Amino acid sequence: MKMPRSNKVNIVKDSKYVRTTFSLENGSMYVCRIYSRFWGRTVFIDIENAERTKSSSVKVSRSIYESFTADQINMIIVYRAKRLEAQPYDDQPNQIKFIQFLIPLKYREEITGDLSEMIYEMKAKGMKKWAIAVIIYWQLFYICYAALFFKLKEITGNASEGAKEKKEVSK
Amino acid sequence: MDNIKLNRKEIAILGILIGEDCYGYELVKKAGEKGETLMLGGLYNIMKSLTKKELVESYWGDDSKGRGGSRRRYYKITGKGENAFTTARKEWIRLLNMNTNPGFSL
Repeated sequence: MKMPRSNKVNIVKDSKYVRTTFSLENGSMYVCRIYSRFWGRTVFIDIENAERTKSSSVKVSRSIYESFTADQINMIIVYRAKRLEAQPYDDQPNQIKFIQFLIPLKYREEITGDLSEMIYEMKAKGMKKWAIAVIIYWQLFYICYAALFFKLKEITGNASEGAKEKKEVSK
Repeated sequence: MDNIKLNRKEIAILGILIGEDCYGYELVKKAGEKGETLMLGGLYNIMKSLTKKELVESYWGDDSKGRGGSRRRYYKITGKGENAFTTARKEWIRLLNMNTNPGFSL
């Protein structure tokens, strides 16, 4: 497939959903998606690199978006892409920040780091966003289950022995 | 020496840690490669239990790519852990041999 080799992003303003691929001067490829949500009131402009390791999103109201010309939208997208290009990966924000409160405090840093690394690897493999979300929520659910019902305690011991001990104590 | 009881997953994790120090997610991946499916929640439980039994100790590493600024917690096997692993592995091998060679013929 031939990829465009220019800074220009082809924006069709009238369509509801736009997906376009473009490259910067240094040759790195970026994908841009423009779509509307909330009954068409808000327009989202998502920019992501081809490896899917860096992404940025712009949210504007429909009226503001419609006041822009196609060239202005192009400028915004290219500016965002250049800013992403300059950003080292370590500066990427913590992606599970808004659900961190579910994780036990003692393990928070470790678990957050491990889950972030998991997200990073899955994105690099090119997995769909919804699949990543399902896996991460499933992992989080299991962590919460372990924390709530076992207080992250030992659950691997010999159950029959424990029962025997309990019986002896009761006698 | 105390007879420390270990289950299959604990033995697998100790086996991985004998080679090198690992952090949580790395342990899950390595266990998966060896055919032992682990989830992060389960792993932290197991690690806590192993730490409590003094078979494993942990230390903080540095933050690296893709961790949202969080540090890695590395787990390291102790001398007691190595002894427990050797004993447990011998016991498992003995049990497996018992299963395959029942010692009588029908």
